[in-house]
Amino acid sequence: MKVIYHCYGGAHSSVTAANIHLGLLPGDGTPRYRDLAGQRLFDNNKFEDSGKICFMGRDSLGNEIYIVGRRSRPQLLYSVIEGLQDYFDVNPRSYLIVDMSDQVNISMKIGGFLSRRLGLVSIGRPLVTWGTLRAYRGILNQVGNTKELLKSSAPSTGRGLISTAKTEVNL
Amino acid sequence: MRTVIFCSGSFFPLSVVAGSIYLKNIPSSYFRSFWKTDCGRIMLNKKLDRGHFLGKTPEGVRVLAFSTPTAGLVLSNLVNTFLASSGIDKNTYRVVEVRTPGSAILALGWLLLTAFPIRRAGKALIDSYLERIYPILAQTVNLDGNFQISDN
Repeated sequence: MKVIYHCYGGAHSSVTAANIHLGLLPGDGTPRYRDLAGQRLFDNNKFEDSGKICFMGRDSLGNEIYIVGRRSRPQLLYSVIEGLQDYFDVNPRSYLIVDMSDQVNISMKIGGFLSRRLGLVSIGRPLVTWGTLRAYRGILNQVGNTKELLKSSAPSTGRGLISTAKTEVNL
Repeated sequence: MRTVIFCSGSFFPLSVVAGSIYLKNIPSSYFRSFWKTDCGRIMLNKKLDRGHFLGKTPEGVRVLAFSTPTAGLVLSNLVNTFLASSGIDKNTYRVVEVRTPGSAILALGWLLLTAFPIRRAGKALIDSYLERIYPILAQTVNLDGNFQISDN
């Protein structure tokens, strides 16, 4: 199974979720500031990377974990994947798509904009990291929901795949 | 099966025009009766962010078109990386991003064509835009669409 965490820029909430899922950030409690800021790919992508599905690693159950920034077009991500599955005969039950944008708070939005869009990293990165610390509990819960969903939706059971981890949509 | 995928991020689905030039369904130089072709009809009737199968070349290459009103870069990156992550052999497909300079005129033309009852004005605007951009489209098809892909 492939799990794709997505958010606006693919630089903060989805990266944090992927690293929690992979066990690289604590699954209980809150990490230290430097643990968050030092994550692989955290606050690191460029505008040209929008839409690139990036492999983050493989979890203990063998699921492949990916992240993607899809700007303000979550529906585009779903549509493109559905279309390509049809044309290239990809198993539609092999993907779980998780929207992390609900977890993004105002500090993350402003900090992310300053750092990624305006290039003001020295101001933006501390702000977005602080915002991510505040949002950590919510991200943790959503990753937990995703893991539960993965356990109950093994391909052999025929459960659906495109999901926000809150509402599952059968294809 | 070998596939060429045209992607565009414009209100008017230029990927369909590029794909149709590739298939030689329409000429590679601009012509006025564009709207009466299948290409024109597809563009007026289809939502293309899930892609549209345009046809096959005599050599057996499938041609697909994806289009979205904005975020062309996101679209082409998504298509490229999704296929790679799904284990599709890179030698069997090619993603061609159709770039759209000056697409504000195109957006206005598309808006007039689809949202207002003055379709003729919208068509005229799009026609004039297409006339300007057509050489770029034909060049994109020639440079990026013609490629050697392995049969293996």
